[in-house]
Amino acid sequence: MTISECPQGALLEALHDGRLGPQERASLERHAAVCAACGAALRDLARIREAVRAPLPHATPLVHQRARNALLRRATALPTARVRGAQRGALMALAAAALMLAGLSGWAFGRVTSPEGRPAVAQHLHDPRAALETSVRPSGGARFERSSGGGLDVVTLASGALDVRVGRLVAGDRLVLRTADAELEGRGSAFRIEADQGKIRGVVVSSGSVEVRYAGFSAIIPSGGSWRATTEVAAPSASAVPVPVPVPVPVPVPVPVSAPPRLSPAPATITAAAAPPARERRPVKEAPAPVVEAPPTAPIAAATAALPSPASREFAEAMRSIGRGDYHGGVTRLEAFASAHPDDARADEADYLRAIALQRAGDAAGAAAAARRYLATRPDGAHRREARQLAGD
Amino acid sequence: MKPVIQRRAHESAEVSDPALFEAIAGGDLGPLGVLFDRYHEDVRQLLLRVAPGSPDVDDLVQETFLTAGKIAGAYDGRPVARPFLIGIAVQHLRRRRRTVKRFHGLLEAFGVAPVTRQRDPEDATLLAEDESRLRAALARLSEDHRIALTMVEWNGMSGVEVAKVLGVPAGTVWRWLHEARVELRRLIERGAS
Repeated sequence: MTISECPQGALLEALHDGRLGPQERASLERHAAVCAACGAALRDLARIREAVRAPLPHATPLVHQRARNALLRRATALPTARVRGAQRGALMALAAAALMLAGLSGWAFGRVTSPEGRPAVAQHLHDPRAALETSVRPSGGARFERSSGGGLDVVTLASGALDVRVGRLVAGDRLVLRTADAELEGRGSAFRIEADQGKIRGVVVSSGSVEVRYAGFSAIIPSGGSWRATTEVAAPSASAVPVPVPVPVPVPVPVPVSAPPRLSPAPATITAAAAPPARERRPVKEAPAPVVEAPPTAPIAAATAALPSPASREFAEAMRSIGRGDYHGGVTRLEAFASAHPDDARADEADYLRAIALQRAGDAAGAAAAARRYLATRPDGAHRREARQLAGD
Repeated sequence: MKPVIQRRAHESAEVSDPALFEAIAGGDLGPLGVLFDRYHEDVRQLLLRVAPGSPDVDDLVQETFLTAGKIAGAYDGRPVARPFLIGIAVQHLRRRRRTVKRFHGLLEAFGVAPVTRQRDPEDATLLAEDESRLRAALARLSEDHRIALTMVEWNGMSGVEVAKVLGVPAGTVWRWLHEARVELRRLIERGAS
């Protein structure tokens, strides 16, 4: 008799896990003593338990003490629950500022700003002293809200600009910046986001990388990358038309640093006077809000037709192909996109997504080849780890 | 306002876990060190069994206790904090796994385990063969199966406790355990034949 044929076999795991009452337990133990199949199955369960319980090396006293000290040092640097409660108002303001930055990052699907603007950005935000601190600094009359709970900090930016540093977060904790049309998230990154009337207008990433989710897509903006909206709305400047926000709390600047990065000059949106010259370093405090001459003329919509640039439309079209199951069509469009817009940050995404689309199409060999091509052409690509897995390396 | 670390009466083993959490929630971080002393090894041993790399394990242990300090005010008052801390550790582990996909070192994690218990040579040979096969099978289990099996078999947690930690119905945990054990026993039988 095998274990599957014995009527008592189904109860053995319950016996092993201590889920049986005294009478059932005694009865089954008597049965197992005479049933070879059940007896063997119980011995197997005990072997499994023994394998899981095989002893592993304990931490030495020295390692333990070092870990203990490190823990207390880190814990001391964090606000306690009581302190957090007292600081909730300030945190709300910080979060709102962070959301402003997130909104601008959502414009990753806009266009890359001029390359000469990037070094200036990096110079402004690379401050090793504050590299480990999470901070959200509003400017330009930023209006935002912040809410936190369950390890999730959400900063919703309505208007203005935020300079955000996302420091070392506890695993599982997240700082998410949102506008009405975009969501942004980064770890160990520094960036600036601008928004107007709840819509993201641009983002500059000075260190780390930032993931932007916008119009149903997701893209990674690497360090040095910056983006701005190309579609403008006919509306007064952000400062002239404040957007009502429940908790518009200004936040003190935690660490004095150089001037925040600005989006590269954009004739349609920011005047030359307001936009600092490339590579210029300016004092950061009280940075004036950008003067908006011709704000966006149409709200940013998730639909492909409303996306601001041909590149965005092409990328969106490719993603829609994949979304409706036309994987090979998606691959073709992604290839065309990456070929036509090699400098677009989404080109990295497109190259990687080709492998994903092929995998979804059931073409494992093609997916592996695409992943290897991605690794060969983009050894430092944002998806290199996933690509290695796809390539089978 | 900085929280403080005080070395006081809570250094004593007589202070209960709920009292330690209460003190931490009140802004005194000294009891966090006491909690660390009490349960650091329990959390670490669990993570060594289900996490792939020891560098990550050390980070996760730190993050577990940091989180415990942050949410001390939400401690549910149970006399022993071990399940609470293990719950935090597993949540961190699962979140990290979802992000970074680091669950491929279990075989090594079990493989480096020194066997300290004295066994006679014949027993030791048989057990070593068993364990070798089991380690290989454990490495092939899904993460959820491996976590559930480890929490039950290593930590002695009940299926209901595991279900609470993982946020799934208890029946799901029992199913995972059953599937894991069927897979492992199949391997044992295959190896024996």
